[in-house]
Amino acid sequence: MSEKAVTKQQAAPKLRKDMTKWEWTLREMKVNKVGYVMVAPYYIVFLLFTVVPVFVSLFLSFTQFNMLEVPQWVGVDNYIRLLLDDDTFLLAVENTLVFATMTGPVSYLLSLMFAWFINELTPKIRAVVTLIFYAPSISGQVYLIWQTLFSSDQYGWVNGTLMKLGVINSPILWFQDTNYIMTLCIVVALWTSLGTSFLSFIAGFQVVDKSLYEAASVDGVRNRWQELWYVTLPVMKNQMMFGAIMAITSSFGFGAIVTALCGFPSVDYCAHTIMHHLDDYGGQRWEVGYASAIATILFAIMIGSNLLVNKLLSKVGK
Amino acid sequence: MMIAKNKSRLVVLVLIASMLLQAFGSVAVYGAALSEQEYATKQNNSETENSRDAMKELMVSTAYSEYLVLYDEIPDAKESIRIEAENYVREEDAGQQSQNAASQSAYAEVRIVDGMYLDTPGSGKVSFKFTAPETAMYTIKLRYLPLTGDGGWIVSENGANSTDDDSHNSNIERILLIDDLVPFKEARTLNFSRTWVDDYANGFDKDGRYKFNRDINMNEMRPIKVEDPEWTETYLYDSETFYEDPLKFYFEKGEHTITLDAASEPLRLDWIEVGYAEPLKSYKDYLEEHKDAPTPKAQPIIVHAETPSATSEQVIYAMNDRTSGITYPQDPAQSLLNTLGGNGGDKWKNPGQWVRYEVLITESGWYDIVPRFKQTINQGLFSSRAVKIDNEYPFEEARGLQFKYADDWQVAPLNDGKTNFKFYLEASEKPHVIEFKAVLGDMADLLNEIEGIQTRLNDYYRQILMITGSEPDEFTDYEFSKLIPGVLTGMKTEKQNLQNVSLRLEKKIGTKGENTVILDRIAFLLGEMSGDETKIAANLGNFKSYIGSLGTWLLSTKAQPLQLDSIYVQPTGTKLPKANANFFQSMGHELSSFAMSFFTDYNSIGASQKIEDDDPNAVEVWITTGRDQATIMRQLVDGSFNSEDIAVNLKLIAAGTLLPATLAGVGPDVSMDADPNGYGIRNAVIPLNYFEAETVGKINDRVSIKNKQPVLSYSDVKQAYFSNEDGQVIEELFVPLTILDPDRVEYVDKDNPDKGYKVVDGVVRDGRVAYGLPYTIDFPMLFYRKDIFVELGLDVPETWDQVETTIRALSEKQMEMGFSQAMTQIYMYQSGHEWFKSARDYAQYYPNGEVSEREYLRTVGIESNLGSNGALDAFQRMTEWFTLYGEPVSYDFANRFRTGEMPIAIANYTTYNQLKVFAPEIAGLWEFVQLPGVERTVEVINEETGETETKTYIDHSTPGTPQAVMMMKDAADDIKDGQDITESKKAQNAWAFLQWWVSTDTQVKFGQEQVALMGTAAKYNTANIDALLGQSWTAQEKKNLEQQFASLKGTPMSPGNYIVARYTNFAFYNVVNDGEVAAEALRGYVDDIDHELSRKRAEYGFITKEDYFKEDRFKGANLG
Repeated sequence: MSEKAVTKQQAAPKLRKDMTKWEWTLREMKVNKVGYVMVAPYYIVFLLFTVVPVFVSLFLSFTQFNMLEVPQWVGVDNYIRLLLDDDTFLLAVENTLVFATMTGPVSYLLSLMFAWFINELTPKIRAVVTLIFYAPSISGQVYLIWQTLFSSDQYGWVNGTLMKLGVINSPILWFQDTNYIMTLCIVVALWTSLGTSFLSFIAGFQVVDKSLYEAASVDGVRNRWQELWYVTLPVMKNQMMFGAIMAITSSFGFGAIVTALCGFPSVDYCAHTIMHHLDDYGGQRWEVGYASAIATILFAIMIGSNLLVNKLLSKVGK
Repeated sequence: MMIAKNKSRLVVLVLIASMLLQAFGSVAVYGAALSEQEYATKQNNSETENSRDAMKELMVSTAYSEYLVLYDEIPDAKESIRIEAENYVREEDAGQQSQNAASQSAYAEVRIVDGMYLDTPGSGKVSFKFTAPETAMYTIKLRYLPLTGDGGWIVSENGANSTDDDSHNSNIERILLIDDLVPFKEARTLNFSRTWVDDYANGFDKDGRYKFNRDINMNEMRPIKVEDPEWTETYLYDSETFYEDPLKFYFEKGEHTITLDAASEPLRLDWIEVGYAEPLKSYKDYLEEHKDAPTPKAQPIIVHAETPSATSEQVIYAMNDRTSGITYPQDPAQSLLNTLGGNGGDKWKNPGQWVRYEVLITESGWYDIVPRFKQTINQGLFSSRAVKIDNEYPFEEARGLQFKYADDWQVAPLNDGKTNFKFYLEASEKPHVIEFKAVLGDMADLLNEIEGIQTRLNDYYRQILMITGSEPDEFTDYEFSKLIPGVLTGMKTEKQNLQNVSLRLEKKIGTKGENTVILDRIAFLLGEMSGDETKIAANLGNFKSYIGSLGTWLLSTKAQPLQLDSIYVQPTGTKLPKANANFFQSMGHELSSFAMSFFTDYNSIGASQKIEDDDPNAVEVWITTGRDQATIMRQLVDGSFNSEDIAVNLKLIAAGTLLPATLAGVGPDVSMDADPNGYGIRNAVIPLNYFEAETVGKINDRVSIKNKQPVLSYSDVKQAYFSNEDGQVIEELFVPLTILDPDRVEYVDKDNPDKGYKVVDGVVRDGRVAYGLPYTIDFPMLFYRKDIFVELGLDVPETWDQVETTIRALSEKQMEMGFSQAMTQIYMYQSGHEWFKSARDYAQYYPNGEVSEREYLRTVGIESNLGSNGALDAFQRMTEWFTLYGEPVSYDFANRFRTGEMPIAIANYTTYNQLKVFAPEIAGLWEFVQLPGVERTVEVINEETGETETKTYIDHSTPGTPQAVMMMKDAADDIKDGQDITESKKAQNAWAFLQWWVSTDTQVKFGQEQVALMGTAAKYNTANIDALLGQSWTAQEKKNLEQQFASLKGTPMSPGNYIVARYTNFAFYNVVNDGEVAAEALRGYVDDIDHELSRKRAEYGFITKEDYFKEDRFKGANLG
């Protein structure tokens, strides 16, 4: 009896090491409850509409589900079919990687270079040039002008001009011709992808402390390249990370533009990406189980490439 | 004996030879012999009524202005001669006169009413004899009564109403011929207006404003417009109002025939008067005439523009305007009908449309007529109106009143741009009638001239095109000055003309600007091209696009939009009312509107009675079309749905909502827009086979029925609304909406399906499960330019072989034909090949080679038929149009059709509406006819001798795309476990709605309302053939449409069918782009297609190709 009372008195300030992790978390939550209340609205929405669907989709990828009737458990059948018996999927993976490389790393580096050059301009000109470069990505569906330019009609701009010059005799069906679809889509992709990452680089260049450059030159930096590599880039690592993630997510999601330009599906699936494949099975054939399997794989690829980017960026300035 | 034998052998040889001669198996021998009757139904499709000569006669290109110049010297007539209508020329008397029998369209079946009037139907000719007392220019005046559409007007001999000649309340149009010739092109489209009045049943409040009906949200609803035919005396005017004066016709002294050829709609005639028109007095004389009249002291009279006493068309109706706080009346929450003419005037803009108001004057004297109006469409220009008071122009200038452009409301006394006019109005018991008629006014002569220039430029363009082709080489010397010297000088003249016109236009509107720049640009280009003929080729592309933009400019400039809020009739000199709200009024209006927007229910569309949310049997219907259509539907449900006990809840939904909603179990009971089979094979739709006599009996017992129209059963619906003239159901409409659903059908003996099947739910009667009722349909037809075909002396092709000839002739002239990519399917159907394979392709494995209907349904779709020789041939032929003949794959049909570059094309028949609106300058110069077909031979049993003969006919089949309404599973959620679906009251109600919606009555009304709301070009493509043909087509259009409708072929439904079209498309592009061999390109996809079909069929429990071939009957068979 008394022993119990004694322990109670002694136990007043409980220490971290005395508690299980769970107890500690609960305690911390109680202490910081205001903070939790404040993030709650976002987190509830995030959980319900992002996290839960991801898990539901993961579950569905092991079923056969036609959207209207109860899903049937089929184990890993979907994955087997997807990886071993679906040529179109392999084509889609290839295309996606090509697009991702173009709109990801290539456009990322281009953004960086452009941002670096533009940063050298005087503020007024810089503002104008920034707008010019950024315009394609803010004005939503502006890529549709490519459709006008490369219209299949003989009176389309490019067709008309080429025929006038005598380069071709009959109109080329640009967005329906397997010889041109991929190239055109990549060009459009590059053109539209100078978006958020470009802007974040411009911002990043502005935050670099001028005194760092002075210090660096004292320390022996000899040219602008070294300045960029050893000073500028390490300072703006956060912006670079943000830009990279944006570039990667958007590069994998690059599907709407292809659909708008070439129709759905593109002829012979030649610009078919994983997103399209997902759309095809989810939206058109109503095979949600299979589509979920595709989504899961796309999800894995995205996570993988984000990790890779993280690794690569940690090397900057070293 | 020997000779006879030889003869028959010869016949056989010739037959074989002729069959071999036909390219690519376009002759297919029909399997079974037909009876003569059946043959006759196939045969009668292939007549062409309009011979080329008849067309030529109508294609006069003389404009009225040229006609006037031609008879410049001739004086006007001095006396008028009246011809009573009943003295028309009888057909038997007309015989000798018209030698040229081919050029005659049939004489109309007229009748005399009350011994003094003449009823003329909507097609055919009526002629009158007229003896001109002297050679002179005569006007023609006539007195007519439009006949309305309620009930057939014409009684045929057996006393039955002939529905063909019913009125459809659309434009009454006549062609005038003098001595069997159309004198000038304006005489080809003479319009006679109708009179529409609103049904003001509720009376007016003390402000003189009509008490509109209101919906549950207190929004005002527009009253129903009804036609109120009235006897009208009118001169023949140019229907586009290019010429303000009555048209004059040249008659030499002596006897003539005047013929009215009906293009559409019946008409009752009293008399025709050939003579002269009194000239109008000028405003100066008008002032002089009433110079002693006083200025009255009366209060201003306010006429509410939204309630006219009559309009010429249904489309001019009251609408809500929220742009100004002082538009009277205005409410921040409710939508009040406070203006007329549409937004900025877009509903009241076509020349010839008029609106009448009644004003009661109590004190005689000079009045100003001051409208508060808005004209925000014709930038920098003005809209024109002609004003009649008591059916007479008070003075000449009243024919060209101007309403200036401004981006806000305006107030101004009626004026012609220079003078404000005042009007002398006398006090009277009866109100004065003020009529505002949209006219081209001051712009008329300019626009007329520009239109003439446009026509000639188009012609020049075509002539150049015929030499150079659409992509001319600028370094080639085409020798234009030798080949087409007329065009070069013509271009010079047009350049001058354009410059003149541009200067005059500038003077008229006061500024040089966007409106003159297009004219100047073309003038400059013409100067370039005509000055140096080597520049013609290089500039041809520009030339074409300039002509196009000139057309667009003309179209928009010809429009005379005007929106009216009120008309103030006030004593001259009274202060003008306010045009716009002041700052505080505007702010108050905007703020309160914003505040009220939180409380307004925008979703319950115009419902006039409250839908009880707790009514468990209310039918929820989802629509994804426009708001206008939803409103019409709501009104139809409220007005004519045949039971008051059934509540219908209409909801306007964004497209794509149905799937997630159905998945979540909150979907509708009835969906108007979905793919019934996609949902059907997933068991989300209630098959309509449930609703047969027994179930429907329950409905009819339970609910009250309005208008003695009981709810019909599914079979009766098909019979009543989807059958052809012979009373046969057009099953092809239902083929795409029907499948054999294996979940609902069980075989008597699973291992031996031939033994038959039993029905599980007691619903499936013949193995078909119906998942929807069609309500719209679209299908391709052949559009062609009559004028160009006449000019080139070409006939409209009836078969694909003839198309080749046509294309050759056209490409000689550097013109092209437009093809659709759906041609593979069209061609397959026409030569008797199916889209899918079925047991019928394996008939030899069945006893006696007979495949039952059920077996067919079970197996249709196991394989695609694309691998068959027929399909490969069809595909090859289809691609050849693009590869061999070089026809364009991608083109803007409407534009090329309009310039004449593509005078013939295959396009969906609904393109009709687009062409009507988009290219008015070629109105009457084109038509649509049946698709070209494939000549096929059949064996026909001669009824007399009983022998079979071989005959040929042309198959014009085409696939059609129906849109269907379907009943979702949720409709039956009120039944308990174990109960039959037919017990569900809600499902029964939903069925009552479905069969009401596709009924002829409803579809006709929907079509009419759509036309009333959006104008005569908004024809509704209903799948109900009676309702479709009941719209205001010309007789010829109707006939062509009917024929094509009869050749519709439905594509059966099979899971995975999307893949067939997709891969055919891929193959098509491979051939067109990379020059692959057609057959190989297509065959390369066949395995992939069949694989996908099998996979999808397996998923939904349908028999697959693989399983099918394992069946006993194929034992030992060698199946490729």
